[in-house]
Amino acid sequence: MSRPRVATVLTARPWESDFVMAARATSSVRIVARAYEAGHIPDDADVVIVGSEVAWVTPVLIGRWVDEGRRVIGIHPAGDDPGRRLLRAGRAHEVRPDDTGSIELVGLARLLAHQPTRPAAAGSVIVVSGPEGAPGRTEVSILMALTMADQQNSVLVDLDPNPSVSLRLGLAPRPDAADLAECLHAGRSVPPDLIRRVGSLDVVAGCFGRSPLGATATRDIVWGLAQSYDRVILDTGPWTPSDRIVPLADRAIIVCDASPVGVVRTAAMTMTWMGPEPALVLNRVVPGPFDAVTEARRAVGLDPTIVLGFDPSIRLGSLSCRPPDVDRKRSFAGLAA
Amino acid sequence: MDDPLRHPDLVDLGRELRRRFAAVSSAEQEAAAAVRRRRRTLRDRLLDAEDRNDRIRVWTAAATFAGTVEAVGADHLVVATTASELTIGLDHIVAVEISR
Repeated sequence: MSRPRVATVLTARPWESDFVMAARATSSVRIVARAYEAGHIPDDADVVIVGSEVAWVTPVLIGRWVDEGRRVIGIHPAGDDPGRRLLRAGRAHEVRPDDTGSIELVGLARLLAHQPTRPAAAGSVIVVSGPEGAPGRTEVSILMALTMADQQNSVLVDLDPNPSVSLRLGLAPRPDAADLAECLHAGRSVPPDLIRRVGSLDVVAGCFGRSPLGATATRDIVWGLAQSYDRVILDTGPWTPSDRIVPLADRAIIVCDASPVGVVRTAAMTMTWMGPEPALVLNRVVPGPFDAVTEARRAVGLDPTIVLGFDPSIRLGSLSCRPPDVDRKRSFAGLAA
Repeated sequence: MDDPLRHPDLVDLGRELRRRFAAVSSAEQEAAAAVRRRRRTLRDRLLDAEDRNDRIRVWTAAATFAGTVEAVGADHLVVATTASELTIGLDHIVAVEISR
């Protein structure tokens, strides 16, 4: 039987280095990572050992590991009840205090690694991004969410630093995404009272006048909602290479304003794009000498998947939460397929 | 209410305390990473490579060897190359390149 592949989360507490030393001394498990960030945990790790004291470790992250089919051992400072609760809320397979012997932990990792698990399905995440200059990200996000709402259990999340979904839909500013992140961080599942219902649409409002959500809170919101919804549609701010939202998505849509400036901005943006292969939505196309479709194809290097004309009904539809017409619906549904 | 900081009057205070706690935890973890980098030895790096099944290239004064780490002993390294297994004394290693 092969040696299990174990990843630990690096911490200042002695249990982690003791565990690694014991694993090396006994050679009974392979230490494939000592992770400093959530992204450092390899996909093929059988077991993850994590301490509750690490700032970026949250119940949602642990739950995600469990859902992906990994076994999780949670370690909390002895006597620290909130730490123990955090690990339990994340559904860690084993929760132990940090005074547990390191040899015992190695044995536990070996034991758990050979227990069968079944990965749980999570909803897919679609991010709507675009360059600066208001190309219509929010419009497209709302239309996309309205299309999805008829077919599947879906939610629209406003993660734009300058949120506008709630303004357009006439929602009160609170509760917002930060409130949802706090609930999830406290180990609660997605509370229905923090999801706003507008017509057929479920919405998480963006944060007004508050500091922008950190990477951990954003990840918790996205993955927490993906556990409850089939589709999570994210309206983000203008793309920057340091964007932390796009890499969380399974699919991406780039909205390009069909003007010369919009095409140039989109072309510059896609040079630095890091995320799933995007679909291009060309927005506000007007007849005239500037052939936006050809220019977008040439400059951006993507074939526009949807071309939206300069049609006031699109904006009105997004304001009144009215689903798009059948043809547009079919196009948007194709984007998510 | 199990958490007194969820009282409406104390929400902002609770948020600030949680933010500071996260900042301290992050600083602690950063320090732990720095300590780990400073204390690890060549043997530790080779053990990491063995556990992860990484490909390595080892330079000695006389030659270069490439392959995967088969074993790391107390004073030697066994590299599995395409043709054979080589045992190299850790004292003779000049440089190591590890690639995933």
